[in-house]
Amino acid sequence: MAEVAVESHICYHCGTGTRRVVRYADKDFCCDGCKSVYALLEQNELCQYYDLNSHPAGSQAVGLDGALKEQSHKFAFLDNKEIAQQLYVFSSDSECHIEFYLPQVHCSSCVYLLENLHKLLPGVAMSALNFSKKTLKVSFSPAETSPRNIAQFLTGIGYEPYFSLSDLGDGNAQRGGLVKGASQQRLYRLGVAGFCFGNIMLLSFPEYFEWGRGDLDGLKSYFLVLNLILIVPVMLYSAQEFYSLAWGGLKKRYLTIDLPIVLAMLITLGRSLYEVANHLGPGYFDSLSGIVFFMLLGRFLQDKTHQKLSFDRDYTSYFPLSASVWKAGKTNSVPLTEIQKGDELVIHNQELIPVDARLAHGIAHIDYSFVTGESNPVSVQAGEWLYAGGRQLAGSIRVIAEKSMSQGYLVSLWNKSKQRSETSSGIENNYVHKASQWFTVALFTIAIGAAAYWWVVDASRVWKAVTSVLIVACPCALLLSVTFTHGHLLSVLAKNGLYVRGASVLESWRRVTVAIFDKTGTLTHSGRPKISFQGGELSSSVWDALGALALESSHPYARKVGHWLDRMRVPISDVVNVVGQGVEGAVDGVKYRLGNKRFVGLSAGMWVGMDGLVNHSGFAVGGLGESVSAATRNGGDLDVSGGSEIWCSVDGVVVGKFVLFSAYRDGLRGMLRRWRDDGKVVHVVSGDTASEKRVLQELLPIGSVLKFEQKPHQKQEIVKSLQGMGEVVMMVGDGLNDAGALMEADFGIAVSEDMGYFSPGCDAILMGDSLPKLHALWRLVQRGKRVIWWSFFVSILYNLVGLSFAVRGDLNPMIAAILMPASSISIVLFTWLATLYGSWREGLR
Amino acid sequence: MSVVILLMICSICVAGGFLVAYLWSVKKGQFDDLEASGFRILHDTKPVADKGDFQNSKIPK
Repeated sequence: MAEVAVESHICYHCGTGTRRVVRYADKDFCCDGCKSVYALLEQNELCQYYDLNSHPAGSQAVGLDGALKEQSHKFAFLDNKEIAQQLYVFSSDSECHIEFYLPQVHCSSCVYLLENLHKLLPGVAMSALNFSKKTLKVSFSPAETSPRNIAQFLTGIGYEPYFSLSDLGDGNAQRGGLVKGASQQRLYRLGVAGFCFGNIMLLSFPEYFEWGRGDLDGLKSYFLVLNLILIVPVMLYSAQEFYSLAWGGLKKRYLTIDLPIVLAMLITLGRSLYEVANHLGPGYFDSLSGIVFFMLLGRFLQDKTHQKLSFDRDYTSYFPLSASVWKAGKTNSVPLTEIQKGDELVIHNQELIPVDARLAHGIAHIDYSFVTGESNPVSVQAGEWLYAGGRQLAGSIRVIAEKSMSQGYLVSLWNKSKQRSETSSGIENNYVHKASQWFTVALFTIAIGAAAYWWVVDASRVWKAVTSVLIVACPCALLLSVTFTHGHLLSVLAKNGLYVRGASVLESWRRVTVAIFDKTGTLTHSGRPKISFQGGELSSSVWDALGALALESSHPYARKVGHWLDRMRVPISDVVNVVGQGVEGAVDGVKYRLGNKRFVGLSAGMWVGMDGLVNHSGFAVGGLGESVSAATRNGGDLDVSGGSEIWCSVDGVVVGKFVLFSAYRDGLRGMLRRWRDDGKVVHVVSGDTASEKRVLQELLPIGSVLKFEQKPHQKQEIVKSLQGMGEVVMMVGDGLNDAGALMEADFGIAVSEDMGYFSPGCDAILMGDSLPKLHALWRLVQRGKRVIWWSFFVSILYNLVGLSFAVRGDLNPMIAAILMPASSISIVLFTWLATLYGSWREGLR
Repeated sequence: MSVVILLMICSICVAGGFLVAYLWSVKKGQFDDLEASGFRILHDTKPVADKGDFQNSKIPK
């Protein structure tokens, strides 16, 4: 049969290029899922969704078709009153408010669609989306709909809500409230300081220009009174933060940069009040309020938190809210914390095993990659152990809980890694800190020097000279250059996919000498495997049939094969999914099968030529104990090391197999080489077997260290021993198996594909696609230090000009008022331009 | 020159009005989510109600 040339079509909903077109209303769709969303929107006259952005659904729609088929039970726990009650923000008999976290929210069309939920779903009164937090608050009437209904509907249109154990309990709500309160407080203070600064500046104008000529002298006193009133909220309210930080430092006998700032502020205030009281001059209220305003602004920029991210996640955000307990022939959703030893749990396809348990019934096929780093799934026989954190891949199973959640292996792993020494990071060895100490000492030396000089020459001017020095040389320029540079750096890093916990950890990253990378999920891309086909020549119609069949499968790997094949859509009948085995279907009367060896009818030894690739090496799961490593593979499952296999047969004849390899990310080689070129040692530490050693050696620069089959605690030991040798360690990892090492390292970076989902506790979160840019980002941080030094230099120039007036004891308020904002603004501009230049030089966005 | 004093008082009152408006908008949560409002303006249909208000309130209107 001749190949029919078919051009690729672009899906109107999600923008995926595909040859398997579904036509509807003169538009092309890649799957029924996308089509049905369009149909729904069209029906409700919400097609503006498509006008705001072309193909707005994007990648969130991938798997929309398959996701619906199996997930109907997924939100069953929302029917449990007890659980739902804890998720509500507000509830009464007639109206409830619930907040969903939707990681897929990404564009203006999302806002449009989600805020029109009331038109799509009866019972919903109103919905409001917080775009930066990606939360949707829904108000609904409990009589007409249920949270489960809403969650399922959202999943259907491509926004699957994400729930985790950490959503439960009052603690969560309180924490959220606190964070919000603190950031609002800062905005209030900033606003008040800005208002007072602007007005004081305005009221001081007559002083600057000396249009005194006598006729305005009468007004000056009124202006002074107004200034006096306006400075009160600045000193008492806006500047509070500096007092508390300086006092906190003093109590710990630790010289922070806030101490000289507070000192300078108080001296400025004191001298101004003295001058005003004695009719000597207008005081320095304008400079004073300016300092406070600019410093608050700098801190605000630096500490602008990444609201959607949490760096202190623990295992509770990884676990689901509840588990289905099988009791007397039916399932109930039970909160995870209430699961007891001996409960019988139902684990559905793609669900996590919440507690350590034994398999009672069904075919278990567990992916432990997040817990151990081993990327191939393991099959488990009835009666054997299953460990919390594993993901079931092949249909529903029933297990008997053997431990409660808090006693499980995963939790103990977590608690072990939590015992981290807090000494490695912190501001003690910070160059900024050193500079500020040096600055303070120099300042006092100059002040004392000026005092000594005037004591000899003209004792009446001592007081004036000393206070002038302290006013002019206020270290706010120093603080401004640091806070603004860090603020700019953090925003450039975030734009490039690296979200850093805060400016304070950048210093330890800068000093890194060893870079350790995890393999599975970090260097490799776990979500997008490389697929290849091994077998005979197949005709186009067979490919079409196999492609269509693969998409009908419930197994995620098979569906990936289907997307990879991307064939014409052909009608398929008699589809039978045999869980854990494969899928069968008929096209034009010909039977096709996809699945493991046994399912396609392949007995051992029949496929000798290809079996050479099949490596039946023993499976060992780090730290999970003997029972898992003893788990035998029943020959011919989808789990062969070096890649997973899916065999296919046509009318009972085996024609070949698809092999799925975890693929390395692009651009790694150059990135890893550049670390070496900068004199850093690269390590790769993996929980996997050594099967890909050769590939890795090829990828890594010479002199790198490779370690395989490392258990989580061994990874942590490696970091510790390197630190013992005086190295500063950066750890880049993804799963819980790296959690210990990430925390132990001086700078831990968690790699995440999907920002919204779980990543272990760390100093920074890196988007998977940005991994090749990691070295350039690090170089940018190096440049940041130079920027800070240069802006110190600029501010010192200003200080020298100011001091040259000040030591003479005749500091004019006008000169102070010009120098102060001029130095602040030029430093703000300088740091911004320098960071921009640096990121341009490093080829970053 | 007393007119200058009058003007001064006026100007501070106006500025104070803006300050109050700013503080009010922070309190109402208008600074919580800076992106979504920008998108909403593009939508043809009128929003059902004040979203910012709803985001914050614990008690339905």
